[in-house]
Amino acid sequence: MNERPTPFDISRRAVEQATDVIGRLLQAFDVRAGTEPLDRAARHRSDGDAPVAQMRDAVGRAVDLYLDLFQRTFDVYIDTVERALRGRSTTPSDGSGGDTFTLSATGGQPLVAGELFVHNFSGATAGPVAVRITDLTAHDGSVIRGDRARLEPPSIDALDHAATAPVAVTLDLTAVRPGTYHGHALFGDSAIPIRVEVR
Amino acid sequence: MTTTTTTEAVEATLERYGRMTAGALGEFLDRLRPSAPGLAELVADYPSRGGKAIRPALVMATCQAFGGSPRDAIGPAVSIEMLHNAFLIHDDVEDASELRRGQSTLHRLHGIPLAVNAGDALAMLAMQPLRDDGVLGSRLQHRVVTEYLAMAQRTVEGQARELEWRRDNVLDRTPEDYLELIGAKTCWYTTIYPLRVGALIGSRGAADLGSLSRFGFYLGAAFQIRDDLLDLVGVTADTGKEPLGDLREGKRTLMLLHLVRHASPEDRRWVVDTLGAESRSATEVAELAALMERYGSIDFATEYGQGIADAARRSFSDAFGNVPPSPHRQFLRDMVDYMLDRRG
Repeated sequence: MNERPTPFDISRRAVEQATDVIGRLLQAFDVRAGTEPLDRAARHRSDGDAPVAQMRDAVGRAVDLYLDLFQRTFDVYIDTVERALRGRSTTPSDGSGGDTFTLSATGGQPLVAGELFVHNFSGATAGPVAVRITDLTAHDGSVIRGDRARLEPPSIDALDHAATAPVAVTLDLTAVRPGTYHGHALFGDSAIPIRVEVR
Repeated sequence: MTTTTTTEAVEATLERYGRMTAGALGEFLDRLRPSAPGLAELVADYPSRGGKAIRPALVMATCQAFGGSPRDAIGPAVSIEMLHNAFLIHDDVEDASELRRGQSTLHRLHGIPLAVNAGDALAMLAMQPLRDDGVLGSRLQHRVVTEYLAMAQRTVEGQARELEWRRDNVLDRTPEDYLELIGAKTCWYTTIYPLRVGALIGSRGAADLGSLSRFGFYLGAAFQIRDDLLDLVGVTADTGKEPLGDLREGKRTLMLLHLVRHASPEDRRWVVDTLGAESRSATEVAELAALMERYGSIDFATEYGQGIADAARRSFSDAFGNVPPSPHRQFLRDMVDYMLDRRG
C-alpha cells in the first residue's frame, strides 16, 4: 500500500534534495569560475610515455602551488598597504563611493535636498557628534551661509565601528545666484567636501 | 525582542540600505539623462517603485558583518539591484504580466520594444558599478567580476530552462528538478551571490564561500517556495502582483509539479492540456488552484518549504559561525525570519 508521506518525511526529503542540489551547483560553479585545479593527468593521458607525463604533472603542480603561494602572499601584502594608505577614520560620504557630496538645483528651486552617509572606520565606537555645514562659497565670491542647511538628525548618536548613519541635508536656496558653491560638512575632526550646483 | 519589533528593525535597516542604494543608483542613472532622457526615465521607473532592496542589503550587511564598510560594497550593491530590475522588466514581458509593485508593468506603459530596450540598458549598465574605482583593489575587483559573470550566466540559463519547459509543456519533473531550476534562475542572484560578494569584500577574500552558498541556497529556495505559495493564497495588496498570476502564466512551481505527479489520470490529462494551451481562462486558473488544494499540493509545498526554511536557519551558524557578533550579523539573522515568514 502506498502510504502518504508525513510532513516530517517531506521536510526531511526536502533538505536532503536541497543539499544534493547545492552541492552540484557549487561543483559546477567552481569549474566554471576556474577555481578548480586542472586535471593535468587527464590531459596527458594520451601521451605515449606515461611516467614522463606523470613526472611533468607533479612538477607542474608543485610549481603552480608555489606560484599560488607567492601570489597570495603578495596580495595580502598589497591589501595591507592599501588599507594602511586609506587610513582609519570616521568618513562621511554620499553613499555612492565618491568623495564629494553633491547637490544640484535648477532654475529658482527654493530648496535642494540630499542624503549624506557617515561611515565609521575608526576601529572603535565614535560619537555622539554634532554635524555642521560650513559656509559655501562660489568663485565669484557669492556665499550660501552654513546656517541655511537643515540637518536631520542634527547630531549623530554613538556609531559602532563599520556602521553607517544617514543625515538628511536640506539647503535653502532662496535668492541664491547661479554658480558652483564649495564648502564642507564637519563631523568632529572629519570633513567631507560639499559641492552645490545652482543652474 | 518581539516578532513585531524584529520586523520593524529589519524593515528600518532595509529602508536605510535601500536609500543608500537608491541614492547611488539615482546618481549613476542621472549620467544617462543628458544624452538619453527618454531611456533614463524608463530605466529609473522600476527602481523608483521602492522594492525591498533585499539583494543590496544582503551585499552590504554581509560585507559589514565580515569587517568591511558599506562604501566598499556600494558598487556591487547598486549593480545587483540594476540587474534585478533588468530581469523584472524582461520577466514581465516574457510572462505578459500587467502589474509590478502595484503599478502597470513597463511594457504596458510604453510598449514591448521600449521596455525590452530599457531592460537591456539596465542589464548592460549593471556592470559599470563593478569597475575598479580604487576602493576594492584589482585583485578583489577581479574576483567580484568573476562572481558576477558566473551568476549572470547561471541566472539566464535557469530562466531559459524554465521558458523551455513552458514552451514544450514539460511537467514531468521532480521536486529536485525544481530545486535545480530555482537554484539557477533565482537563488544564485537573489541570495547566494549577494552573500558571497559581500563576504568576499568584507573579508578581503578570506571568507569560506561554500558555507555561505549553502546557507544562501536554503534561504533563497525557501523564499522562492514561499513566494510561489503567496501567489496562490496571498492577496494583491500584500504581494503587489496579480493573484494566481503564476498559474495564468503557466509558471512551473513546486505545487504544479506535485499536482501533475499525484492527480488521477483524467485530472492529469486536463492539467497537461490546460497548461499546454496558449492561455488560460479565469475559470481554468481557479480550477487548477482547486485541484492543487484537493491533491494536497499546497500542503506538500508548505511542508517542503518549511524543511528548507529550517535548514536555512540551522545553516546560518555555519555560514556566520566565525563572524563576531555585530548589528550587521544580527540583521542578517533576522533577515532569515523576515524573508521566510513574510506575507507579501
